[in-house]
Amino acid sequence: MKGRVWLGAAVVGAVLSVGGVSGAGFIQGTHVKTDLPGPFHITTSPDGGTLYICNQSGHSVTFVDARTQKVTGEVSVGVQPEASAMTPDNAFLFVCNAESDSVSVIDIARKQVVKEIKVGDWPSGIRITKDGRTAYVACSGCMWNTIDVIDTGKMEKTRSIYTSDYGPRTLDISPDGKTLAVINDTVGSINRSVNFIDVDTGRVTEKRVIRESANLRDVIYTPDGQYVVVTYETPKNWLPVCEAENGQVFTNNIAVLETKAGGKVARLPLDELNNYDGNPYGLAMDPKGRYLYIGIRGMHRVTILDMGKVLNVVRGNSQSELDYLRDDLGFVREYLVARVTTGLGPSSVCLSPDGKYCYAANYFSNNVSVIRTPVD
Amino acid sequence: MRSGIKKIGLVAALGLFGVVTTGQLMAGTPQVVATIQTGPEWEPLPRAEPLTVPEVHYRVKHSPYKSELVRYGQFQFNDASWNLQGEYSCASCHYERGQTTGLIWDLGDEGWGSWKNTKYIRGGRYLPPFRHEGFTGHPDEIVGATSSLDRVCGRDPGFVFRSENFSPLRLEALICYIRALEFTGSPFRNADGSLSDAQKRGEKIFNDPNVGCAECHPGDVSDPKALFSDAQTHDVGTGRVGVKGFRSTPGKVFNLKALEAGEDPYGEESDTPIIGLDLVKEFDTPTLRDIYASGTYFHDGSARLLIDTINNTVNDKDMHGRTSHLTAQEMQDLVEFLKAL
Ligand code: HEC
Ligand code: HEC
Repeated sequence: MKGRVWLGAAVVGAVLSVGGVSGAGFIQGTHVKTDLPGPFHITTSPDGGTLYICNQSGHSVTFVDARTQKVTGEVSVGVQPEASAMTPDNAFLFVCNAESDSVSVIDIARKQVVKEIKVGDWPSGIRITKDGRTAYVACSGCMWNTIDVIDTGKMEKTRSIYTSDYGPRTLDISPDGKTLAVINDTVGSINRSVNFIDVDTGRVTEKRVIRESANLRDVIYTPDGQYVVVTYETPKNWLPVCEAENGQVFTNNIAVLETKAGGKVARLPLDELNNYDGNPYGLAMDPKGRYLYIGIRGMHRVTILDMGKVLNVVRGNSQSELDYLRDDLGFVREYLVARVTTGLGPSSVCLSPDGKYCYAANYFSNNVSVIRTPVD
Repeated sequence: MRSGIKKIGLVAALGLFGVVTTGQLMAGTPQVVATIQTGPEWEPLPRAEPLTVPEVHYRVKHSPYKSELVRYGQFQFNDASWNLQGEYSCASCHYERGQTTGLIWDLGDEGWGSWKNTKYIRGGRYLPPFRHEGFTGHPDEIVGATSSLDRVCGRDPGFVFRSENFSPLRLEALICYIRALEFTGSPFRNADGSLSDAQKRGEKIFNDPNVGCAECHPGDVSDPKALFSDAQTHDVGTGRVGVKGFRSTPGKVFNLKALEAGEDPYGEESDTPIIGLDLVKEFDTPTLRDIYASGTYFHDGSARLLIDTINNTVNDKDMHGRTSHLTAQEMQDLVEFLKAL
């Protein structure tokens, strides 16, 4: 247990038994003391047969057979796993251990951690390329700004890509594999940013600001690669809170960004009068890009939007027209399909490959809601 | 959120949007068809009777490590459904793990117009007094935490949260949760926990009596319990009891430009619109533990980067430690040391 000397005495036993090597940090294993697993992130195998659930408080990954809906295994990983990604051949699951500053590689066949790779501070997002060779890990520490690149074959970190701002929370890879879209959840900023990064050069080609934004939580490309969608909250902190009326302390939004250079940034509402989508988190989109699924962690539901209608709004309005829409508490009905009540604290959503089922990982109720989607 | 279901059902019944609750489903409507339990079942405790305003200063008994209470507290911390219309949760400002989004807010209970930096509440149980002005200080750390919560969200929740008061149990659970949040520890030290060369040089400067950091931020890096705070309030030249009621020292996040241009400084159009006014000049010495993770600095967020806390750009010269004689390299070393705490 080297690397824990300094705080060793304060670390609870449960964490020590989790094991693993130390990451960039020297003190690991401080976390909320709870015996409950707290499913925080969910993803499927490429064939949709298995669900992999990162238990943020349980420090493990649970395997669920998607057909029988039975738990088929659990593998201990590092401390506070917050994201995972599967290699396309279904062989390895790469898991971000946020608190341990490492990535655990699980051999799926053996249900065993075969490697723990040290990365930067607070890894909280990971994507693997279509060819399965490279994993990109967003290291979201408050004073950290790297996307660490892992050679999945060698299971080694090969380099770091630097983002323009601190706190890269997570990323998505463009469908053509050439660009990374990274969301920077930069502490203290009320104008947080998206970076578009050229995969070959590892350089930020464009920093696009989402004005008046905080708490950027997830990002996803549309299947045609022309847009990315980001979940975030708008802090209305320029007003004393006594002046806050409806929608003036926080609003809950998505931003839709055209991916072409200098493109529009549409900030669209998820809220309705007396029915806000407090704390929008994880995103999923079906392969045809028809529907967007959003885990609403604070309101215990999944909000489903019609992406065709969302994009019509973006295409049909100029930037200045779009800027008026953000706080319109009637507007969400233009593109809202449904708000589906789930278990408590759905932080992450994913879809079956055919898009017919949406799975929501419910942090507080320690379960997964299976939602039949509108896709037929 | 159980009442939320009813609300959705009602709205759907009015035909506003296409969701129907379980039980009255239409074909093709998205719906939960199964729930896969992957861990123990868990339900929040009942909300119970809210505290009435005069009772808020009632001191809640605490049971720090009752894990069901910690979990219930964590749930409330991340739950937006208790807030009027589901706008936001504690986590919207304090981040889901009790860190901080580093945003400044005018919560109003020390006078309107006094924007305060959202506090990093990990490890908070070690460190009364609470709040930047330290006005909820109390030698008993638990009471401090309790009254701090009262002031943030219990005293008059109608103000900030537009919600009912917490019941004593809910308040207790929130406190248990906050007390359970440990410091995380810096990623910037060597893997074995030792300091890098630059950090060691910074440590020397930090402890140099001519610089004086250790006077108010005492602590020894090898001591895991060291807090690097004297738990007192001091005037370190950051209070802005300014000209014409506005702060006089421009910090990087304050939009003096708008003010000078005669625009409404609170206007939504302003990029960095906050202008604040302090009523006092003395602030609680914050802990320097986890300082690498606690976002913008000082009570009003005026120091965007760690270097801004010591380079005399946002505070009166040499009032926050004596640093004006240090070289650029020495200042950088000091920052490296701070990052290691
Ligand atoms: C609108 C943003 C916002 C929300 C929402 C919010 N806080 Fe805070 N919190 C703040 C700010 C700003 C401060 C610092 C205030 C000060 O020092 O005067 C603070 C301070 C605190 C402190 C004092 C910490 C210390 O060490 O002094 C505690 C404890 C706390 N908040 C808990 C909570 C809890 C629990 C909730 C949810 C019930 C909550 N906060 C919701 C902004 C917020
Ligand atoms: C006279 C007591 C005093 C001395 C000397 C002092 N500090 Fe501080 N320090 C404070 C107080 C009080 C604050 C809070 C100021 C505020 O909130 O506006 C503070 C804030 C800070 C912060 C920001 C913490 C946060 O979370 O916002 C840092 C970093 C810091 N001090 C480092 C130092 C260093 C380095 C030195 C030596 C150069 C030093 N301090 C000397 C009292 C002191």
